[in-house]
Amino acid sequence: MQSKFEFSGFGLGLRPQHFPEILEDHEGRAAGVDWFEAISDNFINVGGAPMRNLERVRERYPLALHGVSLSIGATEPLDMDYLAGLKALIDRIQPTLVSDHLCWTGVHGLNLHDLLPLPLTRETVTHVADRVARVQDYLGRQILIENASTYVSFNDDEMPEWEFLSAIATKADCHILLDVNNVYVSAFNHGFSAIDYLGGVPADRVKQIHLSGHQHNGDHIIDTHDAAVADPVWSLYAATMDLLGPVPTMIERDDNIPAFSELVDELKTARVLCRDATRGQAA
Amino acid sequence: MSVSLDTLQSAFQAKLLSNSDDIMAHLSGGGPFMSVYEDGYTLRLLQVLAEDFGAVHSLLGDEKFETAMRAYLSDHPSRWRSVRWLGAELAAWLGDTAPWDKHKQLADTAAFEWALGLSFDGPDGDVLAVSSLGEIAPNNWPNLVFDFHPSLHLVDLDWDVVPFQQAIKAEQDPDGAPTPFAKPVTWATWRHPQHLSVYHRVLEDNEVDVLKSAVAGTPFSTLCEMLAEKCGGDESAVLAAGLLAQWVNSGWISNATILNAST
Repeated sequence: MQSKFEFSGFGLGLRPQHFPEILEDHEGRAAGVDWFEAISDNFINVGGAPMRNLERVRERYPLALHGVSLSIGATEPLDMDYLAGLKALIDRIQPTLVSDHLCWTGVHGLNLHDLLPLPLTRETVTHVADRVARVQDYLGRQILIENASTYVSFNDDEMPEWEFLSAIATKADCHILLDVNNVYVSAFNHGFSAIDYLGGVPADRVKQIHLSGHQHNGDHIIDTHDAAVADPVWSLYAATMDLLGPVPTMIERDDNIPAFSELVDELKTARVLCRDATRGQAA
Repeated sequence: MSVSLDTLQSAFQAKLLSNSDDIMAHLSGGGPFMSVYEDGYTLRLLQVLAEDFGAVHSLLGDEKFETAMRAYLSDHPSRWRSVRWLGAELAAWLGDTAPWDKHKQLADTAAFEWALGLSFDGPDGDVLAVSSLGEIAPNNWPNLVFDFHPSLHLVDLDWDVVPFQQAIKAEQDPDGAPTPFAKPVTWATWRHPQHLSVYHRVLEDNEVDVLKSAVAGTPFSTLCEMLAEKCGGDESAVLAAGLLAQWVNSGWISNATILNAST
């Protein structure tokens, strides 16, 4: 199975509020964004203005597709209707990457529309890796799985999360979307070392980085995507680049969405930190 | 004691949907932050419904809207992959569920808002060119049937909710609350085939049954007969041609085929 990872640099999550700036920017990448990532679920079996705008962005920029409802960890059968819709969208958009989360979203035919935690067990590794492999076979390409922020862990857990993520990626031969904010959030909530996490994932499988803001509540942190990237997460991102080398990086914002220019400015921070941390490393 | 992944997920979901505590014994340290998932589930979906049904929200106000939507979510937990479809059953639910069923303007408002949304982002489809009609041989017209564009939606309303909904959507103060129609009115919602803006208009009395029959696959000759019964035989063909031209010009028709053309 062959996937193309020709894209590089720094991107933003594609949000409808920013379509005017993105589509009226005749300078293209001069705007300071190298690529965009769209939420695939918002464009499956959809037409009209949303699809036309997506296609217009795709004409100008590389585009990654990022899902929230694959429910790769659920114990019920894969939703083949959903996968057929995703495959049709992939055929139409020709994304550079296709990703979803290492989580489950519902069972018994229901969807809770949240990224729910999995027990970190060998049983779960086998279960999820098998499903990732079947999804990749169906789509005819490798996918990336992203570490989610979690707020509870299970008594049955048998390994740290980075071992869990790495085992699934290796067993399924998939790639990793490493969300540095989620590493920070989960490390705080569960009391593990974020640096141990970064050092424990296979660097050659990490093909994309996510950054976003969170809400600190004193004794726990919630991954809210409604604020600028926090300073400790920027520090962790610099450490990530130092450990992994340059990896395509983007900022997600899903609430309190600011002006497009503000996110482009925020992305400059990632550029500088990546450049400084990886100076002398191979691109 | 170790439990299966299936058991854990069922128990976890039951906590979020029905506050069953079975999952708590399986969480490290008793799961002190489980409330993040519980609170997040409801708040996230309430936010989606508030965005999709802004006029229903305005009619009810914050408190009653939340009460109604919590009950709706309890009766209709999402079976959809995309949260886009969360409100698919809301109009019918508001029309059938006490105490909201006593205020039919709620169901009508929800139905109209939902139809607008379907027209906005429903699947793309072909649009029949006006010139195509001129290419149809006269003897084939009686057996002509039509496919309609996926963005066209028809919604029957007992209440005049549209001015209120339009004001809320434009973030303006509505002139007043919706009022009941003297008799039911059917609205069409659709999107323009080129610039993709969403439009809506009232269907004329002569048009409603004919359009609904055309959407159901009724051939052109029968549509003419329906109009003849309503308006008199002499004018029916002219009226039918006029309606058809209007539908085609609006981009409502995707295709025209001749019934039994192969036989």
